[in-house]
Amino acid sequence: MEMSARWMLVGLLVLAVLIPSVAGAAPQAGKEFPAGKPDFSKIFNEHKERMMNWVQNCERWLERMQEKVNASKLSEESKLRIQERIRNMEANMEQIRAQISNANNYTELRDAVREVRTLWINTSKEMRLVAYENAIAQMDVIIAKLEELADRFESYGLDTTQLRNAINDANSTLNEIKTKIANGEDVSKDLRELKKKIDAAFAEAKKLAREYKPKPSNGIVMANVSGSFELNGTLNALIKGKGNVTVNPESSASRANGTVVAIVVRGNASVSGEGDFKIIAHGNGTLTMNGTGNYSYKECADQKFKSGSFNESVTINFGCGQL
Amino acid sequence: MRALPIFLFLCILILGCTAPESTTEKASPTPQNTHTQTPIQTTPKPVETPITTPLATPSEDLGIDNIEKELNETEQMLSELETLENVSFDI
Repeated sequence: MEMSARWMLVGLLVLAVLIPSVAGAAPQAGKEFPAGKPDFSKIFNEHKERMMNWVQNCERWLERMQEKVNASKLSEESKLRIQERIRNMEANMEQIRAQISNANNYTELRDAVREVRTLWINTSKEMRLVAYENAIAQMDVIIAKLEELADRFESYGLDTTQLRNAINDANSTLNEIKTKIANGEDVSKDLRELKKKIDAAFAEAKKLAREYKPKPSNGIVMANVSGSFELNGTLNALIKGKGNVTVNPESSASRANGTVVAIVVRGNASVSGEGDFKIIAHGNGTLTMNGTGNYSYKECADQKFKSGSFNESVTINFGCGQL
Repeated sequence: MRALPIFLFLCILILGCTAPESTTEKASPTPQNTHTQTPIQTTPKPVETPITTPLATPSEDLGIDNIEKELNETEQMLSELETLENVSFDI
């Protein structure tokens, strides 16, 4: 009996020695090759994955650019031109994807990447052109919005000199870039410069925004009119445009020189005009417009804007306080 | 005779320690019902509250937030393009 127990223990020891060595002999994923012998299969997989990820990122970028162009305020002609370019780029990326995807080993991948490099030179140039055109359109819109803000701040009574200087600076760089693009010149540095200038103008706008605190009882009206208008009330107003303007009393107005009328009105006043105007007023009053145009207004400062357009005439009452 | 249970215990111990890790889920000891029942939704109904239109914050009202968002998006598209252009074709 003792003998059989011994044999059992021997068998047990043999089992304990054999099982781990058999388990260890099984191939393991990701096992390193000995130093000095490059694992081309591993290198191939890593590079293929990296290149496929890059293709995917390029495709995603193109998709997002397409969405941005569709939503942008570019002209229909520009949109169609850019969309055509994006389609060509997508076809190129499809070709690039196929070349990389079809490579079955390290050598094939290396050859494919050589061809992709040539194809990418043209594709990336096209991508840059589209990105720049979209960025310029976007910055054009941002500058226009900053100008709107400057008008609103000035109408409220803030000093907008710094903001207007910064906007003018950005605007002149933007115009230079447009000329360079039309001449086929590289504008990457200029775009960075423009972005800095827009950032500076935006910083000025944010400073003024902190000072802009209309009284809760004040209403705000912003309108564009081609025709005639009449504005009455206790106001802070800015009227810009071309045409004839009468202010009563004259002492409440300050006029800028030039062909474009720019009038700032403060206090209890009555203003009327005929021509093409942009009117922004804070306070309590009434604006009547005849002709064509659009407007947005709120009766009290803490409400949301209501907007509309008109073809004949419209009267807007603004302000929650007394006239 | 006493050696046999010890032998069996040690066998189980060794085999248990050396067995490879299972990647598949073990079968549930209880038979699964083929007709799965969707659990009864116990999410309480939200209490109806009067809808109040939030007032515009000054930066919302002036469009400052939108301008900031547009500036960031434009910047992001350009910098992403730079990253894509910096791809290495060295293999």
